[in-house]
Order: sequence, then structure tokens, then C-alpha cells
Amino acid sequence: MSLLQVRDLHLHIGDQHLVRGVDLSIDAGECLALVGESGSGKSLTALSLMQLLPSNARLEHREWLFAGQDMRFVDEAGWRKLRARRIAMVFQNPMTALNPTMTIGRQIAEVINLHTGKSRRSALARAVELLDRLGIVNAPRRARQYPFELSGGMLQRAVIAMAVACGPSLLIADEPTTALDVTVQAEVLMLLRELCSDEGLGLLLITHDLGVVKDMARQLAVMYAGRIVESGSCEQVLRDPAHPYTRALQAAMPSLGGEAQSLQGIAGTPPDLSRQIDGCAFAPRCPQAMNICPRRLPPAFSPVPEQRVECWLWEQAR
Amino acid sequence: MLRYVLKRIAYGALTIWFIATATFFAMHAVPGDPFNSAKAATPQLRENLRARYGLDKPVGEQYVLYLKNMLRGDFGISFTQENRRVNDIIREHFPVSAILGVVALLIATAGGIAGGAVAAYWHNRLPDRLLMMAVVLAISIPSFVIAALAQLLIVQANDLTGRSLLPVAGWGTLSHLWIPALVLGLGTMAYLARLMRSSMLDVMNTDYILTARAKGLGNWQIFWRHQLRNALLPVVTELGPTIAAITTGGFVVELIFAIPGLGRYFVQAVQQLDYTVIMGTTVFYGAFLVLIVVIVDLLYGVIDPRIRLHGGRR
Amino acid sequence: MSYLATDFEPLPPQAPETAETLIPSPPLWRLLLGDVRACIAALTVVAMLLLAAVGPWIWPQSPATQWLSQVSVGPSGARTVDVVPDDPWQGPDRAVDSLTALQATTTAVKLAWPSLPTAVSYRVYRNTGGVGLGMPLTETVNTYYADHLQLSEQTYRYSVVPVKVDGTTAEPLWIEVNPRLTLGAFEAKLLGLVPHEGQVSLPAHPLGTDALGRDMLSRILHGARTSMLVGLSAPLLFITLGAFYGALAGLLGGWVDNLLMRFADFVVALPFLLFMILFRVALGIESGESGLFPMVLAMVLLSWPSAARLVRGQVLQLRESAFVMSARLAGASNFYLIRRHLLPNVLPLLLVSLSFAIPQAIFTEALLSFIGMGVVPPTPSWGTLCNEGIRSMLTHPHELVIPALAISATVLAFNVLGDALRDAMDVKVRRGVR
Repeated sequence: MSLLQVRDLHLHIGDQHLVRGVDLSIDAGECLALVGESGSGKSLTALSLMQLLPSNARLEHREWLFAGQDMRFVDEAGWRKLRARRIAMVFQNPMTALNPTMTIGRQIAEVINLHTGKSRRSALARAVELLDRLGIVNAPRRARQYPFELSGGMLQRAVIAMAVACGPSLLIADEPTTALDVTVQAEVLMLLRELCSDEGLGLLLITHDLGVVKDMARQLAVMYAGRIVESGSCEQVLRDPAHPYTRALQAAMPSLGGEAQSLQGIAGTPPDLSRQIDGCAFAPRCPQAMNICPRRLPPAFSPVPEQRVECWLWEQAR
Repeated sequence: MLRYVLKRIAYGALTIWFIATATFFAMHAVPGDPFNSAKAATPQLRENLRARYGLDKPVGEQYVLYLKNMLRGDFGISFTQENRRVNDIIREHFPVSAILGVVALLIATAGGIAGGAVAAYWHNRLPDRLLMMAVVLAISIPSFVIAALAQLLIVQANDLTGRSLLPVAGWGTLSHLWIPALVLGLGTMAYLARLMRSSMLDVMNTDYILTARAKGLGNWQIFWRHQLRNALLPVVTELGPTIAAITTGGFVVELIFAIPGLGRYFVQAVQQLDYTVIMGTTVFYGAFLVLIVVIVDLLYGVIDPRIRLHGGRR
Repeated sequence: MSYLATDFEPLPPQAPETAETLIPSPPLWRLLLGDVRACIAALTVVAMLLLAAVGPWIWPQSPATQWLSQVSVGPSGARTVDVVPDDPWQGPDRAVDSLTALQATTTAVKLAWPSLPTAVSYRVYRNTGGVGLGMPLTETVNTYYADHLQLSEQTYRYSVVPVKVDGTTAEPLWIEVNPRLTLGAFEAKLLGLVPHEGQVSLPAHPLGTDALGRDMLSRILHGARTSMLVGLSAPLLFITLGAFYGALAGLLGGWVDNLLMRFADFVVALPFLLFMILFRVALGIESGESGLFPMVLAMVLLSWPSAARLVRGQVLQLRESAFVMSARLAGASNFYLIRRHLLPNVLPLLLVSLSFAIPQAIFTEALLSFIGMGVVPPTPSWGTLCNEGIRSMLTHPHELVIPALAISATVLAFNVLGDALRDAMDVKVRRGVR
């Protein structure tokens, strides 16, 4: 049974319909990569899974199971107990995600103290231990320092330490390497992958970088305008993308070491989500769009088992 | 850190020098030279002034002499009252202004920070709306009108109860202090409340508050541990100008409530053209305000680790 | 599922949505128009400015004329009143059998009473409301008395206390009198009013009169001129001065910039109110003299640094910014850069500063005038009006409340407008326009 199972997740904020029916499923010890342009709703999906939404947000779903528990019946107090203890999150920019006037150690100790009831001193000791385990040199000294004194890579390690401090079973990493130097990115990703396999964590990795996905995730979901348009095993989807958007995304990616190709941008802009969208949201930008595309939402097709795509081209191909 | 402290102090000293210089030349620009001996009240006074200020010497030498005196903390003798030293006048009247100002400042900061925090906590709800309405009113009504209305209120209250609940004006007991201090602090309180509110809202939208929520902290814990301290930073920087505003407001409150502070004395001195008192008081107040700003800056360094450890502004 | 035959034909190529087809941000005034508060505030500001500009023509009463028969009265309409002679009164032409008011006008209340055989003199008292004796007016041996003392249209209770030889007093006689509004012949002549059939018409006082009988409306309108003059001219001047100073510092850069801004820091450190007063003294304005120009000058000299800092910051930011760099590379002239990039960025900011500087200046003028260090009576300004009003605050609160309301409403309107402007600008910033 999977660790997290969500079906038909919808999110409205104000008059914007930002997440429009997302299905997700993550197994323990497995990594699911969620890929898409900025504004496609990936980060909001992540925040929804932590119930960390603004007060004017409206969340709907058909099914939502986490570790066998039906999340429909969890109230705010229950969520507070779940956050960090069972589901933790790593944010995009470690420079802003940490309180600038609190030492690193205390910030990590705070979450340990909150969920395990350890004394402040032993929580602090545990924090130092964690920092050390996550590869921070001279951890006791670092723990006494403030965020502005540490480099971005070290800060992201500290944020990860904070996230895994209470031994969660699901980790959501929202573009964890975007704000970091290229040289540090690989280290942080490696760290996440190790945690995932060593501790049996489920990992939801959100990124716009297809290059990252290959080495990290077994499963891949591609999101466009609030919907998952294609999903499947990482290998299969990357080798043989079935949705024109996935293909366009891949063409827009520079590849290292491959033969020199011309990069292709995707013309146009993502749709206005405050308007009702009847058909495929990508149709206005799609080079292969057909008459039906903007009018009717395509159903899911499976070109090969374990690959799922929402595109009318596959109806025609059948 | 030490470098930062020294730099701030040196800069403060330079500012005080500028204030003293500006005062000196402003006073010497007065048409019909006020230091012209004929204007002083008595021959004795005239002689004292000439001796002390070197009035028969060129302006350059007078300026040097003046700076030397100021450096020694000697503000000279009164122009209209024989044998009364300006230092004595300041020593007598400044403590009154200082007590009034400190109490007003305490009321203003406590009320402002609490009000701003409350408004932000219930953002766009009733407490916020009410507080912000009160703030706009407090900022838009002149302090002398508020002072007058407060007096009117005291009179009415005293009439109504048939007893003397609070004195309408004067100085000397604790009961003389509260209303003037409250009136004096009101404008500043409103200003700080507004600042605190917007600062709180800014902090509320930061990533680290989201992190704190993701940690599973409750609203109240987030408010205390993460929001308040960070929101206080910009408020603390405003404390310097705030103290200046309270000093300024003190003039009016002292006049209306008949409080024998330095502000009221200064206005009197201006009416009597007591030049040396005007000069002494101006330089004294200026130096005092600079000192406060320096102290506040150093205090800021204590609160904000970024300055404490790196010695620069954010 | 059923499909149309054409469903799977390629979609005709469409123009992809580009930045141009996105909805542009509305102009500033449009945003303001949508804000009810801002509209009310803007209307108030315009109304106040209009009142200050043309008010004294629409309401041509002089702010200095004293209507001595109408001192500290509330709102009153225009009316026609009798002119009565004000020669000294020689006593009643008939005896009366009780305390009687033979004439009850605001020019004189003429009282007569029967003589008491045992009395050697009579003390006359007047009270406004209440049953006590009130204020002693005179002690006389006559059995009549004419009261001329600042009468107005209200109920007076007169008491006459007979005093016996041994100094003891008999039971007082009393009467309540409501004087009718009249004008003394002398006062009418003084005011230049020519009686027509023994009557003159008095103008209305929609806001009443002050403690010296001057028309409040006219004083408020003339005061508005003073306050608005200072409130508008000083901020306009110091923001212009500061903008040029800041632009200069920012454009020159280097050590010149450093020096200029250090000087600005020094000026900021000067204690504001003390130096406002100090400049007044330095310019030779003695107490009792109105110093309107020195006040504006002092305000300009002390207040320019904030605008200078603002503009300098913008200039520096723009100098660093990528789009100015690219414009420079494309060969844009300095003039073009200033017109095309600097001004559009700086002007809205200056507008916001201005809308906050104006109420500040109005406040400062009122404050200084209030403590007698700005405009002094008889020149009306909202500050001096408050100063005068505060003296009669307990008996006639309207004399303080009306000018105080004028100040507060104006300052409030400017503040709200400034807030709205700033918010509107923030919206524009957030939308990434500008």
C-alpha cells in the first residue's frame, strides 16, 4: 500500500482554480518527481499536502490517505502534530527559510523540542548530532551561528536537518536546489537520495529541472496549468515522452555531453487560471493541436503500461 | 563590533559639533547683533558677557572660545537674569522634561508595539479596523487640541464626581504626570502602532514563518518566537526619531499643562530674547538627541546579530 | 465517445499570446478612483484648497470686524435689529412697585426697583443661569441701574440686595431677563451701518463668533489661506530643493556624493522645532511679529534632506539597473535616460512624499502659531485660532473645536490620500509595471 494516495485534488484561491484535479501516489522509500514550469501549481500542490495554505484557499479532493489514515478527518490541531513529525518540507530558498535572528541550532532544536518533548539542552545536542550527520563540518560551532553566517549549501543542509529531525515518513522538497550554486546542487540532491533510501522516506521532489530528475526519481509526473498531463516511470517518460508538453519541456532543456542541439523555447504563456478551461490547457501553445483539443478535456491514455498521458493525439493513434 | 561602536560615537560627536556651529552662526546672524552690549539688561551683565564671550574680539576667535566653553559643558550665563548660569537653568528644568518624556516614551512604545501586534494578529478583522481608525485619528489631531480636550475631560470628570480626581495643570506629584505623558505619547504611540503592524505583516509573509508553520508550531508560538522579535527590528530603528518627536511635542504639553520643563523655559527665553539661554538649550537638546540616536543604534546592534557580528548596517 | 469528423483536424494556427495581449496595469488615477476612501479624501483636499482660495470672496465678511453685541455666540442667521441710543440713563420716569426691567436689550438692561426705607444702598448682581447671586455689578444709592456689560442673548438673573445702615442686608429682589439683540447707536456708527427706519441688518454668522465678536467662518477661511499657504509652499519648495540636491549627489557619485549626503545627515540631526524657532530669532522676528516667510524659509532649510535621500537612492538604483545599462549601450543620451527612466520612477515617489509633507507642514504651522512662535494675532491662522479658542474652551467650546476640526479634517484627508497613493503605487510595483 502506498504511503500517500491523493485523488482528484482541487485548489481554489480567490477566483483562481490553481490545482485542477491532481492524482498522486508515493510509496515509502520511493521518490516521485513533480516537474513543470513556474506557475504550474507544483508548489501549491506541495503546500496543500502540508495544509499550509492561505486562509482564502479552498481545498477539495475525492480521496486522501496518508499512511492508511484518512486525512479528511484531521483538524488543524491534528495537522500540527503531523507536520514535521510525519510530513516534513524542505523549501526552495534556505537563505529566507530560516529565521534570521535565531541560531541554527536553536531552530532545529525547536522542532525536536516541540514534537519529542525533549529538554532544550538535549534537543540542542540532537540538533548538533543531526548537523554532523548531514555532513556539516564543525557542527557544534555552526549550531551556535546565525543563518547569515553560513553558505547557501550549509543552510540547505540545516533546513534538511530540521525537516528530518523528527523522523518523518514523507519529505516534500520544493525545488531544493534552485537557489543554490551549481556545485552544491549535486551534494544536496545526493543527500536527499541517501535519506530516502537509508531511512525509507517517501520523497516528493518538486523541480523544473528535468536533468535533476533522471538520477533521483523512479516515478515522474509532469504538471501543466494545475493538472498532471503525463506520468509514469521516470525512465520511460524521459525516453519516450508521450505528451507534446513533455516533449517541448525536454527540447527546452540544454543537455550536457549530448550532441549539440538547438534549444527550443515554448511559445506563448500559461493560461489564465481564473477563467474556466474546458479542454486541454496546453492546446493554445501546442504545435500539434487539433480542433477538439481546446473544447474537451482529454481522458487518460496508456501508450505503454505504467505510463499515463492526457492527450487527444493518443485517441487518434488508437 | 568595537569598530562599529567607535564609528558611531565619532560620527555622533561630529554631528554635535555641526549643531553647535549652526547655532552659533544662526545667533550671530541676528540683525543688530544681539551680543551688542547695549542690549543686555544691566551694566554688570554686560561686563560679564563681554568677558565670557570675548565680544570685543573677531567672530573667529569668539567661535573658538564658544566651542571651548561648549566642550567643557559650560553654556554661559543668562542674558536677562544676572548671575544665573544657563547650566543651572538646564539642570533645574531639564529633569522635569526628561521625566515627562521618559514616561511618555514608555507609554508610547508599550502601547504602540502592543497595538501594532494586536492589529496584525487580527489582520483585517474588527480589532485591526478599530485600532487603525484610532491611529489615523491620533495622527490627524494636533497635540495641542488633544491636550486641551484632555484638560476639558479632567474638568468634566472632576465636576461630575465632585472631587479632584486629577489636577488640570501643574507639576509636582505623580498625579500631575499621567495625563500630560499620555497626551505627549499618543501621537508617537499611533505612529509606532502603524509601523509595528506593517512590520508584523511583512514578517508574516516571509518564508521563515512558513517554515515555522511547517514545523507544526501553533499560531501563538509562531507569534512569540519568530514573528515578534523580527518585527521589532524596524521599530527599534525608529526609536531615535521617536524620542526627537516626543521632545518636540513636550514644548506644547509643557505650555498647556503649565509644567516647568525646559521646553516651556525655552519658549519664554525666546519671548524675552535671552540669547544665551536659547543657544545653550538648543545645543544641549541637539547633543542629547544625537546621544539618544547613537545609543539606539548601538542597541540595535545588540538585537540584530547581523550588525553585532559584522559591524555594518543591513 | 462520439467525435465530430473535424475533431481531429489540425487546429488553425493562432497568434500565441504574448506580453502585449496581457492586460496592462491601469493608470494611477484609475486605481485611486476605485478606492472610496481615497476619493473622499481627494474631494476634501480639493474642497479645502478651494475654500482657502476663493472662500474669502464668497464670504466677504472681514475677519477683524468685532460684533461687540454678539460675542461668543453660536451659529446665527442674518437679522434686522433696532438701533438704540446709548446715552447715559437718568433713571426711570415713573416709580415701580417691584424689580422691573424697563429695557432689556443687548445694548443695555435697564433695571428699576422700589426704594426700601431702611436701605442706604443697593448691590446689583448678575448671574447667567443658576440661582446664586453671581457677578457683582455695582453698589448704588439710586433705585435704578443700567447694565451695559457685554450682554448677549441669553437668560440673566439679576439680583438687587438692599444694604442697611448697619451693613446688614435685606432679602434680595430678583428678576430673570432675556435681552433682545439690538445695536447701540455708537457701535452701529463704528461698524459703518446706516440705520434705516431705526433698524440695521446684521450679517449671519454661520459658525458663530469668537470671544472678541469676530465672525468665525470668515476667520476660518482667512486662516485657511495662511495655513494652506505655508502647508503647500514649504513642502513644494523643500521637495524640489531636495530632489535636485539628491539627483546631483547621485549623478556625481563618489566622494562628492559622500560629502553631500553627510551634510544632509547633519541637517537631519538638527532638533527641528528648536531650529524653527531659532531661525525665527535669527531672522530678527521679535515675539509679537508675524513671521510667515521666515517660517517657510526655516521649514525649507530643515526639511529638504528626506527628499534628497529618496531621489539619490533612486538615481543610484537606476544607475546600477540592467535596463539603464542596456539603454546606455544602445546609445541613449543622459537627457533621454532622465526623462524616460528617472522621472517616471521618481515622480510618483515624490508625489507620495508631498502628500505626507503637506499635513506635516500644516501641523508645524499650527503648532508654532499655537505657541506664539509663528503667525501671531490678529493674523488668523488655524493655529492662532486654536490658541484663542483654548482660552474660552470651558464656556464656548466651539471656538476651539471649529479650527481644530478644520486642521484635523485637512490633515486626515492628506494622510489618507497619501496612504492610498502609496498603496496604489505598491500595486503597480507588484504588477511589475512602472
